[in-house]
Amino acid sequence: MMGQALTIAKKDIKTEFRTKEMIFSMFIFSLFIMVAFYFAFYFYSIGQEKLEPLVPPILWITFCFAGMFGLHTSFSKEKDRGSLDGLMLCPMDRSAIYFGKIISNYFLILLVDISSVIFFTMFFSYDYNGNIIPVLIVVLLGTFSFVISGTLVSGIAVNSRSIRGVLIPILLIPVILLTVLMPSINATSKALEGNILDAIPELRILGMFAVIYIALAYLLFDFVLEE
Amino acid sequence: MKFDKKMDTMVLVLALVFVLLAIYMALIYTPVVDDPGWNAPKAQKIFYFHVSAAWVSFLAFGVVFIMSILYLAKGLKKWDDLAFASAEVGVVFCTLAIVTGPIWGSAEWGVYWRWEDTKLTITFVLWLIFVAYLVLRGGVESEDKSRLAAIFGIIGFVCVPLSFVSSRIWQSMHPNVVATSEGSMSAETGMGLLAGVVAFTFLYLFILKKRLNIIEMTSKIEDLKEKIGGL
Repeated sequence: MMGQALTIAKKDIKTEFRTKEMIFSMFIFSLFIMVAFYFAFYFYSIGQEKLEPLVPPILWITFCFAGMFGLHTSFSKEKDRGSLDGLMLCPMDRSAIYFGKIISNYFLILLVDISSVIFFTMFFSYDYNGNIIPVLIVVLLGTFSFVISGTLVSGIAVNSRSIRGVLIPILLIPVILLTVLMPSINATSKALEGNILDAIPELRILGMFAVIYIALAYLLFDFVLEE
Repeated sequence: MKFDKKMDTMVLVLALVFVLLAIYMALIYTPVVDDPGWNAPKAQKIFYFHVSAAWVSFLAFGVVFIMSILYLAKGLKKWDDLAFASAEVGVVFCTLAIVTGPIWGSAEWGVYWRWEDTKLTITFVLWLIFVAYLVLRGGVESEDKSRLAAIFGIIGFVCVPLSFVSSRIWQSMHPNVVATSEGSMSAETGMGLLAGVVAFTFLYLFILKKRLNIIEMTSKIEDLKEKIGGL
């Protein structure tokens, strides 16, 4: 099954890099969010010290919204082109489609997340004091949990014709609020203080939910794509 | 059919009797707490309705979870109808719980809402999830909506009890009434709470049954419309 999933992921990434439609819009979107944050705090005359507690929420809100933007197109493209039926006719397990989508979404969203960190550092001229590696570890893990739950939810939301665009945030935000977003933000703030070992309880929770969502998706994804 | 009607009447009578009893127990029978640690002892009376509403909402969402699994496994429409009706009623009771909580909070804590409070926040997230569930049911036009809603009902309900694990990071401000090492509530308070919980459970059963009847009638009308070639 893993081989089939990799084939689907490769196909997704290849088609994405031919048009660069989605990844480019995600870059621009995350850039806009950063600019919006900068102007929101402009009159607050923000310095390194005042900025410190705001870093994790700014980063994760950007990741979350830019990521949802990416998740939205992941299934809707297939649905609109009619290629989803083709995928479903392939002689393979339906979960392979899900795992393939996870790999491609993870790759693309991670690219956007890392670029958002770069945008953030540039705009706010923030000094990580050498703690950038722990922060990136948290980003890697948090984004993984986000993508796992998000891909499942976007598979559900793609079936709505009238409110498809808003359905992903409405369904996804309450699900990830306590299970992904809060532990990630907590872990990031601990990582910024320098000691990644302090963030282990949060990272454990992120890992636990990643496993739970994978198990749920493995059980339920066949029903998502049923016709 | 006749037995069904009789059951309906029975549940209605029981709900009425217990609601009246619960109001009497909560307002008159139970004593006002006299612990000096409380800022607003009289406001504590809302507790009997608050906890009962919260209990019913958890029960209703649990029913959604089980009915969703049954629907995915067997594909029978009645399980789906039951899940839908229970989600709607659950959201109403959950709203009651989140409204009565801050009313007490403003008297006791001086603020309406405390995000640090685990139970409050998790109940609120549960409410958000099932509001999203209802939006999903409204947003998907085709026949798929029962299946998709069942999937989301399962995901949503599974992630909430587990959130209690992640909430260990927080400090909870919520009063722990039922089981604490410092001693539990008095017998009168316990009786009052029990009356409230029983009353709300019967009320839930009654409303659920009525909602289910409406759903059945709606689909019957749809069938009839199709038969005579209407819309």
